Amino acid sequence: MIHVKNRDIVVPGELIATGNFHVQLGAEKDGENIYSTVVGIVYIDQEKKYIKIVPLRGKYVPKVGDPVIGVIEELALKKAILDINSAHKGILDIRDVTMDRSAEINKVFSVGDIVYSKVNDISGSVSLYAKPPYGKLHGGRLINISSTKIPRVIGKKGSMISIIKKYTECKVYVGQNGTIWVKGKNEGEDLALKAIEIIDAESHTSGLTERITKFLEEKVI
Amino acid sequence: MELIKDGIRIDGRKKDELRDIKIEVGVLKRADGSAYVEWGMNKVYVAVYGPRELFPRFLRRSDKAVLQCKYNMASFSVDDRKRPGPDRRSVEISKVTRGALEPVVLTENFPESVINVNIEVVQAEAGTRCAGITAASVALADAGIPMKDLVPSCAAGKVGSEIILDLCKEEDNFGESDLPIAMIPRTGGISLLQMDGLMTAEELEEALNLVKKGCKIIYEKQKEALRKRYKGDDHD
Repeated sequence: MIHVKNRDIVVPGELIATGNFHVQLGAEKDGENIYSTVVGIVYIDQEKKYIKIVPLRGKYVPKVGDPVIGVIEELALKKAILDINSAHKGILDIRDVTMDRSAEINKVFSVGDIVYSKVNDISGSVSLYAKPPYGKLHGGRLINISSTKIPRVIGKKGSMISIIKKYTECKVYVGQNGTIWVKGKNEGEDLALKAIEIIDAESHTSGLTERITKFLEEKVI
Repeated sequence: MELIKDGIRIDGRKKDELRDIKIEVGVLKRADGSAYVEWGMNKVYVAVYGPRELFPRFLRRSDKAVLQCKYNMASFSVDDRKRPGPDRRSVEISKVTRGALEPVVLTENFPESVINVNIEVVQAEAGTRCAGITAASVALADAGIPMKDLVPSCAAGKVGSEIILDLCKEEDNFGESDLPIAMIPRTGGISLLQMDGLMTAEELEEALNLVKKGCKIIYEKQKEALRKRYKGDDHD
């Protein structure tokens, strides 16, 4: 028995369903009943019997293999400490940046640099990896959105992101932590950031890719 | 001065009537989650930060996040200027607020980190701890922190020989007894219960039933406020 509609906004403590369902995310079982634990959009698959609540807000929870974009906050002897919009700082060891054994961290990075990297390990601290194709990003602009909305920015098989790249002629790097880096011509950057802001605000509506395409088409011509 | 006359209280309310409550979500831009509550003449802001790294390091817990609550009254929040800074009362309220919220927040999801809840009372008129807890649980939900339920809270009390809901300033000052309670509606649990003054067991029972009714109304207002915040950007 289901007590809410599919794609409804739910709040913590709300009764979602009673009975035998798999809970994927954002809910908890209490005996037969399934209650929401976050503010989010509920997705119910009646056939496969699973429930997923995608949170509307929240900090990024690191996962091994995720590409993330961080800003260097501090340099230690052989490592850099990055802000990755998570509960913990990301740690980037010099060995995970370059093959050159004699390289020094303060020659490679300085505070405030933007680094595109991959989450390598989350046992203990969050350690990152930034050998090519990852690495330092030069220039460009950053935008922070909620990490839960990143899948919409990328789109199905990268459809959304390739549309943005095509119309704005920008380089776009997307971090799973909700940080997006954009570089191109000034007008292109403006447009890309605006498109991402729209996606952020309307991420829970359908037909978004078409609307973004329309928006970009109008602006480009 | 008569506080209750023919079942009507000094501010015109009935015995089981709450003051006007307005809840707003996401009012502070720099906070991860925030809420503002107007409850009668009370005005309370709550900011939630985190989960984030906790310093000093020895306070960290390897199995769960630490919940740090801070209740503060602005010096201009009451008629006579309040001496700013922490005092015995605000330390106590910070502590009971943490106790009221801890059972619902799923802190085990964020080990080695801290969640900060800052409650700032900018105008006070009896019942600020209840307003604070009510707002804090909404702000926590707004920050995207997973929790079992929202925590509505309100007070009951004894004035004359009557049991009434949600004491106003005069009733709090001149009444016999004050009983602030925070509830977890999903389980029917009580996460805060303090009593100032005396009540008999029967009176306590009656007060509890009254508070349950009041909390139900507040709970609906909390849910409505959270939904309203996110319905706003629905363009479908």
